[in-house]
Amino acid sequence: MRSVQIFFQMMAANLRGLMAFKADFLVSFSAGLLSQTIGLLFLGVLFSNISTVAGWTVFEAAVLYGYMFVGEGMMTLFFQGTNGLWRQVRRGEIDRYMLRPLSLEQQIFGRDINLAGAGTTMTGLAVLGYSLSRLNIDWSWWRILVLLASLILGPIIRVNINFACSAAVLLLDGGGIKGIVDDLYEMGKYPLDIYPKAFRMLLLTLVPYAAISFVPAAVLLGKRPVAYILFLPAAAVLILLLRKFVFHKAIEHYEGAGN
Amino acid sequence: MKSFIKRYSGFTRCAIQEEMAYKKGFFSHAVSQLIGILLSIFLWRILFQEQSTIQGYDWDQMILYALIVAMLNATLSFGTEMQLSEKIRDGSVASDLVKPIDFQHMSLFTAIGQSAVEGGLAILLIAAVAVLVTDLSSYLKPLSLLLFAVSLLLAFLLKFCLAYLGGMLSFYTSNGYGVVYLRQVITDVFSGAMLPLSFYPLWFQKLSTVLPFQASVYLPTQIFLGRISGREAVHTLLLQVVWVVILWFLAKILFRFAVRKVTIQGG
Repeated sequence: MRSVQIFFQMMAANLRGLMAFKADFLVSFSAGLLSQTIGLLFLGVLFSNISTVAGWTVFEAAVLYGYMFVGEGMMTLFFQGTNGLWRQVRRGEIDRYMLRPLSLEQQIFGRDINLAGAGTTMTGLAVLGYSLSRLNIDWSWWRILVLLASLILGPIIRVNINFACSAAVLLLDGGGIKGIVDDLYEMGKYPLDIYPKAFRMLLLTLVPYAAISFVPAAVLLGKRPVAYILFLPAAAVLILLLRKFVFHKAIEHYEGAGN
Repeated sequence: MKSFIKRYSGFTRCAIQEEMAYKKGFFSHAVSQLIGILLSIFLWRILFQEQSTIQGYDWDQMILYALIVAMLNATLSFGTEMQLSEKIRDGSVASDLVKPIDFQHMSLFTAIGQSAVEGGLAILLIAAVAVLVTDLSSYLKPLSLLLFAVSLLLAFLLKFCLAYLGGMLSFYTSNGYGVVYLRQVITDVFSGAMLPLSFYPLWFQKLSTVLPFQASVYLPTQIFLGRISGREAVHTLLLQVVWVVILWFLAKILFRFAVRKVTIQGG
């Protein structure tokens, strides 16, 4: 509980820092909002020329987009620190973190705030809400439960994928693994059925973008049996453990910023 | 002219060496590109299972379109524009401004060096994919390939001008990343990089023909696919030249105003 309180205090401090540049505040926010909206345009224009993608209609596919936006937005907004881990090491910030009476992870989580994420999250929620309302879903109690669980676990998965990659970059002393995983993100925006088997496995387990979007969407829309939802918590636990492991190894490997 | 080339080609050499220094970056760059290409292949593969043509594009044409877009995107990447933006943000632009050189020329020659390496690699990768998944034979005619090559070159210059103008916005805001990203996304839509312009509603197509963006991606693809040929192709190249000239001088003029706004963060 105390750690949550500290996290929000750190966020408030970051926010005050941002407010020093008021024009930027607006630029960031609207840049986040606009760039995601334009991303949606792809979907709209594509579907004006075709009727379905692997059996998914335009609003069904938009649910996937919405989920991915929410995950991405929450990460950008509150957990930007997991992105620039490499930079924090180079600047010697990690050395300082180690001397403070707070866990390393928590300091990295609370490192930075980026308001572009607020724009992205809001777009995501709006897209998700509107698309679901257009789809005639019978909102039984378990569907509501699936929706709530997916909105909480999705961002957690997204943050941990990112954190694990950032830590892997430290462990391997550079390398493009982060860029590659960032590129795979786009694959979460489409039905899993369009990919070959190897990619499906990858997107459900090691780099579980599909667990953020496809798994809950397929269950909510009745495209997969209810039990399929188990991939969501399973992927969350797996990526959390993986992230802890990689981060632990990276810190063991860490030799300081100096030469 | 000779001394001009001599003076600025140093920046190109320097950029090439810098790019070559990061060998690990090569590999991850290639994999990143491959992922993007694979995603569009997977998506179009499913769509072409249900119909044989979409908006007049068959499988080969659609994939070749996507591959040319990927090639153009790789040739002048996000990195070039971000670098300019970073230079303005961290203030190192100041040391360039006091040198007896033109900042715009310097940036162009640096971009040529970066693109030679990144683009060279991308062309190899993309050609390999094209041979594997499409039937290229009907598109490889000497004359249209020559026109395409010229068109690509002009597209590169145009992309540079757009990136340079976009990077210049960083004089006005300290959030370089957001602005650069947004400019890139808008360009992706209007240039046809996201989807062929004929997929859009008519009013949008009309709007995009009066904007410079389509000349940086859409027009070269249409020349390669043989949808624009003969006299019309020559007109298209001229249109590209006109846009390059307009944007080049626009950038020169705007730079003079923008540079007065230099405020370096933390300074």
